[in-house]
Formats: sequence, structure tokens, C-alpha cells
Amino acid sequence: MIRTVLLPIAAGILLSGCATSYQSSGLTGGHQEQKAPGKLELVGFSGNGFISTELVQVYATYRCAELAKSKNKPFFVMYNTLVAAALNKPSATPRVGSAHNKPIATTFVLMLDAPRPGANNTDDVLTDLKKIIDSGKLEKSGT
Amino acid sequence: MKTRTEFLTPFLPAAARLAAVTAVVFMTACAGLQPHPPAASDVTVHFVGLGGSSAFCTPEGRFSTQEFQDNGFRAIKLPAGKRITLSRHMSFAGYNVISNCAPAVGFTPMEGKHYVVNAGLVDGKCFIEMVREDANVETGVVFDTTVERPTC
Repeated sequence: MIRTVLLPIAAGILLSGCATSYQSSGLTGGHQEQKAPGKLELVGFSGNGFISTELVQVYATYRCAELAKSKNKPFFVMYNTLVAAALNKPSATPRVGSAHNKPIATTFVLMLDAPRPGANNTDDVLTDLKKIIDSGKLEKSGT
Repeated sequence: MKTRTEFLTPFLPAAARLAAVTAVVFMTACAGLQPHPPAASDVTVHFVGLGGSSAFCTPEGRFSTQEFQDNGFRAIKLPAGKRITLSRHMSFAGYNVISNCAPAVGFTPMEGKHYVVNAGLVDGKCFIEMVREDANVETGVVFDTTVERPTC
């Protein structure tokens, strides 16, 4: 009886502890940046098999805001592909893919001094996503 | 009456030879990609996204590429004015399994222009895209109208 109750709980604790946390790229994944053409910067967040694709997207978005803040840019735009950047078609969330059930979110970020259609407010993103970054959990809708 | 082993024995050396020849042919084909002879008119292609190795083909044949560092980018040189199919070979390891893919894109590089290739994953599949660099626009890239399906 104790086993049937404790084992799933222990497994759950262990598995949730294994999920990639918000961090710089390391053994279990994390965020990384890469030089891109023009004023673009390629931002990515790679996770392990215990993190959801949605959370990886949130982490990548938050990293974009952090980079914009560090460069004193109050706004930023995300383009999920270079073709989207060439055609100026911003995205609301980073693009996500996966290999062996390990998700990776990537986006090309353009940091801005002034707002424009499709742009994110740097401070708003940092504020809105801070709770998720700290807890490592997505808030469920309606709660 | 011959046993199964006795029956197969005369064929084993032939099978082994065939396997060896096949292996050599495959290995030769891999190692035998000609390097692209450099020319003054070559265009530079920058890579962003996931790492890997690249190869390309023209109507004249298949060629290997030599990557180098160019202004902070991984880069290769390609011949200008020819219809090219450029492929990016990527590997992903995880859970004792290695997956490989080689998405490809076709285009015709123009002399004096620079290009950027982005390769990665989307929805569990590999993708590749190619645009032309243009310092006159904010994003630094413009759509290239010569992009087509791979042809070789």
C-alpha cells in the first residue's frame, strides 16, 4: 500500500526535478545565442525529455526579453525563420521542434527602440513571464 | 544429403566478397566527393542554426565543401551563376539512438552576393531555408527569388 502511494510520488518528484530549468546552456539544455545577419540575433532554448514544448517556448521568449533589456531596447520582434524576417512577418512565439522527445525553441530576435506592429514590450514580457521562470511551471488557464 | 551449412558453404565466400565490394563502393562514394575548385567569382554562404556538414551538387556533379570562419559565421564558398542544390547533414543523438537528416535547398547564387542558410528542427522534422544578405534592410536579409526545389 505504501509502495503504491509513495512510488508514483517519488517518481514524480524525481522526474520534475530532471526537467530543464531556466539557465544558460548546460548538460540538460538551456538558452544560447548565436550571431545572425544584420541586427538579428538567433536565440534558442533546448530542453530535455522532461520539459514541455510550451515551457521551452516561454523560456526562449523570456531570454529574448532579457537580451533586449541588457541592450536597453524597450521593444523586440521575433521572427521564426529568416524568410519571415526577410518578409517582415513577426511571430508571437518562438518556433519549436524536437528530436528524440527533446524540444528546442528558436527565434530570430530584432531589438527595437520604438514600438511597431508585432513587437513585444520588453518590460511587460519580463514581468509577465517572471513567475513561470521562477516556478518552472506553466500556469493553467482558469486558475 | 547435404546439411544446411554444407549447402551454404560454397556461397559464403561469394557473399562475403560481395559484401566487401559493396562496403568499399559505398565508402569510396562518400570519400570520393570532389572538393569544389575555388574561383574568384565564388559567393559566400553563411550558416546559422544547428551545426552539421554540407555538400552541394550542380549539373556537373557532387562536391564537398570546406567550412571556414567568416566574420563570426560558419561559411562555405559556392560557384556563382550555376543552379545549385545545397544540403545540410545533421545528426541528433538521444536515448542510444542517433537520427540523421539532410534537408536540401536549390538556388542560383549571383556573383558579388552573400547568402545565409538556416537549418534546424521544426515539429520533429528537419528544415533548411536560404535568404540573401542585404545590409540596406533592418533585418539584414531579403527573400531570394532563385530559391527552388532541390534538383540533384
